[in-house]
Amino acid sequence: MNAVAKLYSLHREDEIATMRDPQLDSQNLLGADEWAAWYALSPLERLEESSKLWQTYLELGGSLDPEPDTQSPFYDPDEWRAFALDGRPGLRVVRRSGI
Amino acid sequence: MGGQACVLYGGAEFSRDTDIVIVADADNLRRLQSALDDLDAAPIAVPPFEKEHLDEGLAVHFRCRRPGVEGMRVDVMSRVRGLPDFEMLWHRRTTVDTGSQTIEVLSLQDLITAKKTQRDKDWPMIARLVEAHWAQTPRPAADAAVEFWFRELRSPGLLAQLAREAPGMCRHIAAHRPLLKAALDGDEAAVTRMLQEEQNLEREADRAYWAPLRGRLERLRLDRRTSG
Repeated sequence: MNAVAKLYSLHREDEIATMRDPQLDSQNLLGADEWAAWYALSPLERLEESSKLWQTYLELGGSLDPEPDTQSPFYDPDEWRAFALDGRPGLRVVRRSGI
Repeated sequence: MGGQACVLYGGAEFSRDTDIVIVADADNLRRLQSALDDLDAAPIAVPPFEKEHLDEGLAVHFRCRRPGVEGMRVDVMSRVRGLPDFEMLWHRRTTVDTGSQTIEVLSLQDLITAKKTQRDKDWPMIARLVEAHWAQTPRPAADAAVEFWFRELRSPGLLAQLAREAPGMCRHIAAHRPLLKAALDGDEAAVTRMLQEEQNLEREADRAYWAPLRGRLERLRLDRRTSG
């Protein structure tokens, strides 16, 4: 797995962990090879790997707009509706499963 | 102070905005405005970019329009719940030298405190950040590092292991963090339950802190809609 894909998988793992019990999930994380490898990088190396993910994301047409964060004290549904109408490109789903 | 800081410390965050904490005095706000002008950044939503709102504890949100950074969000704050004033944050900061620039970020302890919010997504990140520090710290670890782990670790297995390795300090800090008594007993189920209770209390405290500020934001939004 290349570094960008690895970073994305780590990020996805945390997103999924957010949906489960964070404590139960984090118990086993340190043993994971990918996390150990990520922790072993220097801060600068992590920043560089993260930047590569950015490049990939932007090349795929990803938007710089943050995702709506409904749990943030600053979340304003009207603001997000307004931005959805501005026509800026985001990642476009071209196929999805039935769920 | 946000996602980029997490990455530097060992988290894996894909953050699409840049969070900045500043000292909100007139000179500094002018300098910030100049930097924002370079990015062709304009305030979005509420509140407007005024010292009064930063002093209240609100964040001011900007969107950049300069080609190359078009669409990038910058959020600016001068006060964060649970953190001391800017002078102390600056004194405790971490500086990372990339070779071409230096990056100043909150200290790890301050970043973790800032992450103790009402949002689900911040809690796995806190666990990651402390685990990363645990993994990166050469052994034998200094007392300050061990104390930091006892106060902030959110991984029952690591807490139980640490309690076995340093029972004296664990007993001492248990007066401030009751779940350490369960860690000393090796009762990981109880530690897990008490970690959740600890998290619930912090999230409730964050909601209580933000309740009046949310009201303030609602009033500002209403004012903007009625005036514009």
